[in-house]
Amino acid sequence: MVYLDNAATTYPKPAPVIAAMSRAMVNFGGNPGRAGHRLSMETAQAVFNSRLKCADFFGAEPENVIFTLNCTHALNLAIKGIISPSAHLITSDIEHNAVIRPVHAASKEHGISYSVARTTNNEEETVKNFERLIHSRTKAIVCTAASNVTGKILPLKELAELCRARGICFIIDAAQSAGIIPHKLSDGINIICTAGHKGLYGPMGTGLMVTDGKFRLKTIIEGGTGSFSKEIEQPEVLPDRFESGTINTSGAIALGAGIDFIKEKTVERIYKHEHDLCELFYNEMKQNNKKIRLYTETYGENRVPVVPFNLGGMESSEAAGLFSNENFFLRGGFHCAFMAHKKMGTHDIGAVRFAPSAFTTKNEVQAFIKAVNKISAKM
Amino acid sequence: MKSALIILKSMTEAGKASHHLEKFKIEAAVEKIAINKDGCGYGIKIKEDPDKVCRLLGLVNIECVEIR
Repeated sequence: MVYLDNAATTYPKPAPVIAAMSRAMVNFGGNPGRAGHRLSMETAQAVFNSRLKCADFFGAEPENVIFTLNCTHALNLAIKGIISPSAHLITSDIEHNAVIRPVHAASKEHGISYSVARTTNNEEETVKNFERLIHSRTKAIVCTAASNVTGKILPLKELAELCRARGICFIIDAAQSAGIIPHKLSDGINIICTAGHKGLYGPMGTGLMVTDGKFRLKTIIEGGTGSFSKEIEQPEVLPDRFESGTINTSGAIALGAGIDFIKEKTVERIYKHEHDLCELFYNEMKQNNKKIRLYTETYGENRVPVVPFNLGGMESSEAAGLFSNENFFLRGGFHCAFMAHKKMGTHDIGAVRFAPSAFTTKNEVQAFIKAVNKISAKM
Repeated sequence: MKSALIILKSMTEAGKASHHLEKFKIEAAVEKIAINKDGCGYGIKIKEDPDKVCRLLGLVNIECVEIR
């Protein structure tokens, strides 16, 4: 079996992540931040240690690291937390539904407005397209750091500077980029939302909202936090404010082990490894298989390692099914990012997404190339 | 020296305080504390001068809510 669907969730997970998860289930059975007994306190300490690792990774204070269920949850906290009546948000035309759906829902339910900035291959032009949409009621730019369909990385530093100069909040969806390209709050990003189970190699059911604390967010979920229990108001103090109810304790602890794994490998080496595999696949297809549709002229630098492609005009889910029959697991369809597919011209058949991980080998990619060539030869 | 209890704003802040004090070789055990006004809370138990500890915590913007 060759797993090439790592943009959906990385698999396999590093052995220390599995060990940490298992250890947490066995040894850290108390509810963290609730009781004062030893088991609860030890669990709380283990969660704090993981929080500290995540904070260090993104250049945040530990209290500003919020454990969430996934990136979508984090984005909902950020987007619905930053808006106020008549607020205006700006997003891009390559967003995942994790961004565009909560933004759109907020426009219907809370009367806010939003604009969609056109992205291009010219970074300066992209930034200008965002800039011209800013007006007096603009509260935030919320956009993907890198497209989960094309891999395109948006000009984050320039957008951060634009937000800083205008006093508006810059929120990024780093689901596809955290652990693959470096993200630090010191780059001017106010809120980083990410999945824990993709490039951070944690378990599914984990995510993070990491904030610099400069923008106060409203809550969308209130409840028990184990603190200020006599108060009817949701606490102001972070992370309690956004962590009502028991968190995914074993997942949060294992996510810390995922961060350790990345730190040991380094983000730069993981990026290069995956990039080289994408380049190998892209170049083989481009040069030697004319039946394959690729969607960029070259496999460029300014992207996270994914390659969307199609078997001629075949519906992408059907193509993914043919690969699955050969034990190569990739995702076809629209990847919850219809806007990006529309822009790429694949709104009719979607695309198959080639997405390696730190564990993918060159031999596996070469075997997949052979399988693609064999299947396409029959077309 | 007699131990003191420093009440902090949250469990995470208590963890952060304990972690910060390690750098100064000050042991600080995180404890759950019943706070009459707000309900449950967390703090650290120390055997050092609490005023000195609070000054050190102030360096990383941790506010001592109460010293017992």
